[in-house]
Amino acid sequence: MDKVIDIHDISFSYNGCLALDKVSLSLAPGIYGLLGPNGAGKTTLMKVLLGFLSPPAGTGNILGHDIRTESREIRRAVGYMPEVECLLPLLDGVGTVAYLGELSGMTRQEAMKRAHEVLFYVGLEEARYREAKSYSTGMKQRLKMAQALVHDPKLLFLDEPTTGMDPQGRQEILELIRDIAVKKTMSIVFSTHILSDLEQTCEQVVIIDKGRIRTLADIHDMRARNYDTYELKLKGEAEEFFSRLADVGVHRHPIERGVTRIGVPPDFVPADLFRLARDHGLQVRHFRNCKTTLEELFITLIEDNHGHQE
Amino acid sequence: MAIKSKGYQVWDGQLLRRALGWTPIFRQGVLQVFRKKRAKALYIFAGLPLLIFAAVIYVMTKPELKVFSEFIREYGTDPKLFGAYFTNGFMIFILLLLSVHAGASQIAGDRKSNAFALYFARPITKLDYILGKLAVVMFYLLAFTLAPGLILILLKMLFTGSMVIDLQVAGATVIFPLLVSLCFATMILAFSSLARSGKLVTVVLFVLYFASDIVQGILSGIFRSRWFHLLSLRENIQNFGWTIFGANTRADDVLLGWLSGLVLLVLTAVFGGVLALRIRRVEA
Repeated sequence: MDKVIDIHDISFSYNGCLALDKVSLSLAPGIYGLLGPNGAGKTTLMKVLLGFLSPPAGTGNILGHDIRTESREIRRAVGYMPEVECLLPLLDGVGTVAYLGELSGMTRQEAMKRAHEVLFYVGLEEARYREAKSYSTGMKQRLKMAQALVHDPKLLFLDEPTTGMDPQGRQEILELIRDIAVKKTMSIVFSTHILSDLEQTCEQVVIIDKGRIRTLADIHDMRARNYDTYELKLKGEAEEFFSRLADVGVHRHPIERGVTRIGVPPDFVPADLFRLARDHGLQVRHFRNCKTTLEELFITLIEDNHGHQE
Repeated sequence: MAIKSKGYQVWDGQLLRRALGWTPIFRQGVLQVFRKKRAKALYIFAGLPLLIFAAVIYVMTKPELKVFSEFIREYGTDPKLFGAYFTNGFMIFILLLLSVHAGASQIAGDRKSNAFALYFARPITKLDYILGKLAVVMFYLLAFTLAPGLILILLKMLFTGSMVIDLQVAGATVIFPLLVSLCFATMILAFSSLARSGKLVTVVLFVLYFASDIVQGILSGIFRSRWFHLLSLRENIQNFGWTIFGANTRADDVLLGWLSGLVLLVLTAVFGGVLALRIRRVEA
């Protein structure tokens, strides 16, 4: 299959408030991060893709199934881990997963067998006979992950899967996502606003803001293409110095306690900076190459985008 | 070795395409209701009318027990006997208890725990969901109305040694419990879809049931008119029951009975509409 997701000009509004604005997206099999600030339209996009919401405009298909007419087929082939805390009343862990497997179309026996497997997989083997209501937040997240995996979907939507988890639990969930991705049998769309989660799991990222897809790019390419960043601390009056740096395309972002982060163009030679500082009578107290975090890239992209709109 | 340490395991089975997508919801719901606290005590309680009326039929068919049959003379005909079985106040109260027991938390519980996000991520429609929940409540209501009614017909045939049965009674034994159960089931599920607490649903249903009875009693008393019976759920069930079983003979009683049936149908449609509308608006 060429594309797992292929949608064109999808729009959706909640009571006149535009949540998705002519969204077009084509994703080949793989693992993708869906990144955006709160209210950007991530969850709405997932709900449209799953057929929960019917968009008034636009076309598209998921795994070859039309999003307007074949939502049942889509939900048969797709796994969904919702963002909200949700469970089935009065059921234990294994009962919940088996029942949802059965609703997906598995036979009762197969669903029960598979429920045990996936609960082992997500690390709930000890707690599988406990009522799900008694689970901790982290355990509930794992249970949601298990129910999304029970019918072995071809495409997995994870909506904020690490929300509310402690650092260790978060790492374990990310490890599971990486493990699933390694098998290459399932594509994953992983929505989050925790950027480090994406850096650890995804190769590609879709950035969405104000209901529009801003970019779809390889995380490593983005970083390499756009930024080479240093932290710099100087002693002395540096305004003239920074003005000269700006002339050669260096961006300046003060951080704290006299430390400034500078973004330099790819052809910039750090030795030139030292020479310039000496010429201006400045002492370089601190100079360190720093890896640009995805968070900085993300903020820059969103800010650039807002700047363009204004 | 834990599966986790082996990594993710691919499932190589085939997913079914169920023609009746609601059947897993029905099966799961029936089991869950059965496992509730005090369920067995309620079922024994709900089974009492069957035992009593089985005994009545036995006494009526045995001339040697004539001394007892004097006490049950008023049930001398099939319409009266079966009408009394289905419309006695105890039976209607049992239906109310069973509705609450099986239905109060069906949707309210799902709302409270955000279960819709899990249900509707599966290949089931909202109609499947409603039918599944409705089938659970109907199962318990019919298990203590339709099923015992059919058993009583069989017992009657067995004790009299005759296969002859009044066709109106036989038809009413099927239709009456179906309609009344559907009315109770849509009502409890409609309330359940409006709340997030099964206890609140229970209170609302009991209040409405008794309030309709009290208002009817007061208005009937003041105006000396039986037409106010149409305001009471219990009276509507009883009037319709007596009429459909053919136990009413006076023309205005028959008319009131059919109007009561119409009220029950309208209530079923209204509650069904509310239920459908609520579930249709649910966002997963």
